[in-house]
Amino acid sequence: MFFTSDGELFMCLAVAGVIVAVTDNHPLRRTARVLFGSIEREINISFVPEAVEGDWILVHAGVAICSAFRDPHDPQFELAKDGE
Amino acid sequence: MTFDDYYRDSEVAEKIIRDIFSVATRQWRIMEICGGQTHAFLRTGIDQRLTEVVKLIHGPGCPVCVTSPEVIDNAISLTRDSSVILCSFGDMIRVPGNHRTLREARALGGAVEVVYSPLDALSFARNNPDKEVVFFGIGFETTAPIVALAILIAASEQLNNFSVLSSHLLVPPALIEILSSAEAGVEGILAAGHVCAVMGYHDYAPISERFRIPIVVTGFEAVDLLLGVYRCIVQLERGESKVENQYQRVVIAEGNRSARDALIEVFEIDSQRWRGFGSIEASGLKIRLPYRKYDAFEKFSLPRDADDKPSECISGAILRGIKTPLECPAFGKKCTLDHPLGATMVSEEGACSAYMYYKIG
Repeated sequence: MFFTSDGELFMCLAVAGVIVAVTDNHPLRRTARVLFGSIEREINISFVPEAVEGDWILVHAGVAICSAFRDPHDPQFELAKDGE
Repeated sequence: MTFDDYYRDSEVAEKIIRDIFSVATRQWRIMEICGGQTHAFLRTGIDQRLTEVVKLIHGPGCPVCVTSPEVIDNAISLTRDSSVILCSFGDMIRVPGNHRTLREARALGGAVEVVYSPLDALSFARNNPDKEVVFFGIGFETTAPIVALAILIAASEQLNNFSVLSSHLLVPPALIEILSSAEAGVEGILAAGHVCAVMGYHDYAPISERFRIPIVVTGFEAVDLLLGVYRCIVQLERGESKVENQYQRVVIAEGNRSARDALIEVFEIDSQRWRGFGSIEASGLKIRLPYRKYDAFEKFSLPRDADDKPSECISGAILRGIKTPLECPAFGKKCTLDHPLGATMVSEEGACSAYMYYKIG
């Protein structure tokens, strides 16, 4: 959905990926290798200083804009199952 | 299992559609703000499944669509300078200014480079010390912190051949403009999930209260959109008006402090021209004085204000939610994906391109 045929991300959407490895810890240029499905990209993660290897982050235009959370006990799931 | 699997599950989606129909007693007019949400509604066909109970109004949350033609003209004027490399997001280069597009400027010999990130523009500046590299900075609050980061990095490296032509926009003032005019008759709002991931959603409470309108922060997958609509309709049927967060796996009320800190360090709020709206007070961002050497308006003495030129394109009315693309006489005839007249057809998030892809085929 988010990738063109040559692997580029659609411009305006942010996409969730998982941090494979942090490669640079400079405050402004903190960088990580991030996996999006089967595609790995180098991403600036200076806006998520607490994120570490294995964490999910949301990425837009080459930069992580926030952390993302996977919740197997998603409250929305309960809402959908039981209705209002 | 991937991050969004649950939110793409068709069985879950069907359950929520049944829930929506069980609570709705009439058709409600609901606006989705973000262009990415517009496309998701149409691509999944959810809009058609819900027509009895939801009239979807497409909001102005497509930054490519609402960037003013005048700032595009400014970007094009820079390409006539042989010492300039203009770096731009890909979907901006086909959007017409008042006369032509950046793609046409490139065909005429201008140095225009498509980049995925403002940080790529920094690389161009480092690798081309004899050139002036200008990044064409458009976008809402999701993108502005990233541009701020590029400027902060440039400042830390004392990179003197980098600047930003900034035309960033803020969502809440445009929302207030639409709700104040009441043209579109909006009764509920699905707020843009990724904007709120950065900024949080405290700004929306006063809007919800002032206009007595439910606002649900919503994601981008089918189940996200349906849950957003469902929560909105539950409020409407009960006569409630408050802010809710559907997109909890990403958005928290406070947003991302680090990203916001970068944004307010580099930018200050200013009035801004929007395609289709004219000038809206306090709706844009201007580079602050300590970082003015990175402001392309200052560096190249570019004009900040100009009048809109008339056009047969009705994207302004579409962005304000008072017309749909199907009501445009040029839609699908003079104005197509291959020969767009305006921004809402050019942009991958524009309502007109969405209608061409998913309703016309």
